[in-house]
Order: sequence, then structure tokens, then C-alpha cells
Amino acid sequence: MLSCKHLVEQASDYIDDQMTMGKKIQVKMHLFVCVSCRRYLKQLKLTIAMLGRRNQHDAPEAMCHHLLKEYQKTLPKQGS
Amino acid sequence: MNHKDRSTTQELPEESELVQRLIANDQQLFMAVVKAWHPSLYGVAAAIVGHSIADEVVQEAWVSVIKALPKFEGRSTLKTWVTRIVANEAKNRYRKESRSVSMESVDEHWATDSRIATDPRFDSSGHWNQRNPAWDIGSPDELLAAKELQDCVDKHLSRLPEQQKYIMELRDTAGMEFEEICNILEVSSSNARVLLHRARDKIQQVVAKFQRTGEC
Repeated sequence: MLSCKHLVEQASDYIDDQMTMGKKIQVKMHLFVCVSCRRYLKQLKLTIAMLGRRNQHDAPEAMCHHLLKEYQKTLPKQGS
Repeated sequence: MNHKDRSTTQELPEESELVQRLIANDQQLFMAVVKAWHPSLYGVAAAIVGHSIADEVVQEAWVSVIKALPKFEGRSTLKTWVTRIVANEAKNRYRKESRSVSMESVDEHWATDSRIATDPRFDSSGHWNQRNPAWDIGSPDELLAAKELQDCVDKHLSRLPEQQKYIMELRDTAGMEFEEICNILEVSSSNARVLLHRARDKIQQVVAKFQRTGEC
């Protein structure tokens, strides 16, 4: 049976669905009996979700202004 | 490429209407798109060229997009197309800046027994040394609201090797698919997956330690 350390090693592949069906079944069987690995997987998913929401960077006003000017200048000419 | 959209694109019209209106000079919609897609486009640019010139790269890419928009053929979604233009612009800038980081110098042997054998979380038979404790926090928003924890995560993110950081930003912040990440960074899929997991596992351990001890 898959050991805990090997499950931890492969946890991202499992989450990202980058795993063969056979491996996936091994992981599921291990998770069924191992509370520590179930927690690890849940914690890793939480960590990934947190990372995805960090540093959401808004478009700077100066950039928006510049791009709007470019858009006004360029597109009517090419779109007509 | 199928983008996990973390922006506000649900407020934008559906794809064909979006393209038509943008070509027809809908300025209000154009601004809405620029703002809605900026977080993920910025994430792609920052992953390749760093944060200091990422906005500049996104701006330059948008200028190219505006010029090429009437010729957009719809072979991919507009957002995928724009993302590729941002990634190409970033790669060109990266080459011009002649940065010394090699995207291919990856330790392929990370996930071997030699590394894991020294992982203090596990005993010699590969079982947890101690039961992995549950976290008090149950949602990403709660994690994000914990200021001290975020400072700690920031500190450790800044210490990650650049390749790990880039791949994590492209995958977990910008939501890109592996195939696209490998094309952009010129790494193999297996290397990308190893590096991504190494980075995520590190940050999981940072959060776990903070949860356990309140220390960074």
C-alpha cells in the first residue's frame, strides 16, 4: 500500500488530476484509512486556494488611461 | 488552454458578443475587460519577468492586442489569445533583460527517497511521525484574513527558488494549464509538476507550523 510520504509526494498530481487511474485508486484507498493524509490533502487544497487569491493586482489607472487612448486611436481605423 | 477565471468575467458578455463589441470600439467594455483580466494577466507577466515590470509588459501586450484584434480568428477564446500575447511579450522582455536564471536547471531528483528520508514529518517506514493535526481555519478567506500568517507566507514565498515561484504563480495565481506553463517556461511537464508540488508543500508546512505554534 502507498505510504504516507509517497502520498504527500504525489498530492499535487492528485489534486491537479495529473495521475493515472491506477494511482488515483491507490491514493483513494490510502485516504480512506489515513486521517493524517486526509488532513494533509485538505490543507494543501486550502493552501492552493489561498495562494490563488493573494496578490490580486488591480490595473493601474495610468495604464487604463493609456490603453483607452490606444484603443480609441487604433481600432476605428482598423475596424472600418 | 482552459482558464480558471478568478476575475469578474461573469459580468462580461459571452465570447462572440464580446469580440464583436470590442472590434466595434465599445470603449466601456474594453475598459471592463482590461480591469477584469488584469489580475491573471499580471500573474502571467510577473511569473516570467518579475513584479517590477509586469504592469509594463501587460500594457505593451494590450497595445499589440488592440492592433491585432480585427484579425482575431477565434481559434481559442479571446482571453487565452490575450494571455499568450502577454506571455510572449514577457518572454521577449525576459530574454532582453538577459536574466541569468536558467529555467531548465531543475533538480529532477527531488522526489526521491533520499530527500523524503530526511523529511522530519515521516519515520523510516514512510508513516507520519505524529498525527497531522487539523487546522482551526477552514477557508481560504480566513487564512487570508490572518495578517501575521500572510506576512509569514510572504516571507517564505520570497525565499522560494525562482523556478518554483514562477510555476506556482502561473498555475495557482494565474490558473494556467500545465501544457501552457511548460511552453512558456520551457520545462518538461514532469519537472513543472515536481517544482509546483515542492512550492505548495513548503507553503502548506509554513501554514501548518503557524497553526501549531503561532510562530513563523
